[in-house]
Amino acid sequence: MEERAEAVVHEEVGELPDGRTIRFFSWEVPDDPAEPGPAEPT
Amino acid sequence: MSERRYDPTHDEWVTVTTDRQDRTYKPAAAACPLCPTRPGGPETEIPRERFEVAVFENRFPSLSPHPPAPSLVGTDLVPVEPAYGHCEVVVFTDDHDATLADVGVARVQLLVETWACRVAELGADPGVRYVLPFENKGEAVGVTLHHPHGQIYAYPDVPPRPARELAAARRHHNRTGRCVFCDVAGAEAGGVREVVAGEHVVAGVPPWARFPYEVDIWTREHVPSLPELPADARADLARVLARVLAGYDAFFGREAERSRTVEQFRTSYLLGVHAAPTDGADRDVAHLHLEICPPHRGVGKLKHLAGSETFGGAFLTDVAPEVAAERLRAACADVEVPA
Repeated sequence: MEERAEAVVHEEVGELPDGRTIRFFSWEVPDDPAEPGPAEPT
Repeated sequence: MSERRYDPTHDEWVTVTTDRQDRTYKPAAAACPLCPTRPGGPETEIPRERFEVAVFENRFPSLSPHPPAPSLVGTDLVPVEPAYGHCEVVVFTDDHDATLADVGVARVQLLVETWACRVAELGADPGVRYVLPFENKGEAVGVTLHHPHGQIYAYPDVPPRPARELAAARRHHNRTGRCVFCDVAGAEAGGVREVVAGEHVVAGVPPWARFPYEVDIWTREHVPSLPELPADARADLARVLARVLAGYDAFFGREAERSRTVEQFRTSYLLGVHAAPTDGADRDVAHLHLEICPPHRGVGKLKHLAGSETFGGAFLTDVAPEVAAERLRAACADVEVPA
């Protein structure tokens, strides 16, 4: 379950052909920052 | 027709919703409306090839944000009003043959997060006073679609059972100054009726269980509703719920194997989430908890709501809660729960 701590819930809202609303919920792991900054200010 | 009629003899509302008679009834797996829409396959309710959890407005709602005008004029004795509210379908997985007991903890956690999101949004509607997520599982409780799914009803008032529960909690609070569910969770934790212990929640057969293998899950701390439950506690709730559901199948499965009545046994149950009204009332006495009520008193033996339960409102149960808890505790401890 540790990976869940990093994942966040993603919600996507759409519309069905008859006008009703549909929502999709999924786990999404945010992208890692490309260039991590320094751990401590220098 | 979909309208609410007041029953002055019991001080409660009944929804008359005749359009639901035409809803899809036990379709073949190939025609399941809750499966994903696959290339070359039939169009289903869900226009996607794959999904994790999907939530959509019920095609056959008993409560609607745009309800039709009532078919008859109410009286002072029996008021009639439009059936305002919301009815949503929550599909737990795109796998037709899965159950909530075997989808794994991560998916159950996603479902708990989904419930929290929908309770918050539906509860923000000023026309709504109570939001109830629930699951009816298995033919033994009258399910018409086998694809794993639940529902969320958003009512314009507090329904009778939660209202009665809140009234009892208020009386306890007036007498003791404490929340009755906090007292129950504290008294049951670590006791003979505990089934699964989590860090933030405890699952147990209540001393007053109405169904032989009923399990309730209480938060240890006073939390009025699911959206207010911290994320780590929601994760703990998911872990405990997944273990309880897997434990049911393990326990009844072993019984089925022993009695050689069926090859594979999947537990039927009714599951409901009780919490505070969404209009801000009773937050000091409302305490988030789940109730899971399987109708089984054994393999091939069902607990029916008969004369005493239906006309007396007085439940009779066939298994001592302490014995049921001991059996379920052992099954839950042994069972492997997929991550």
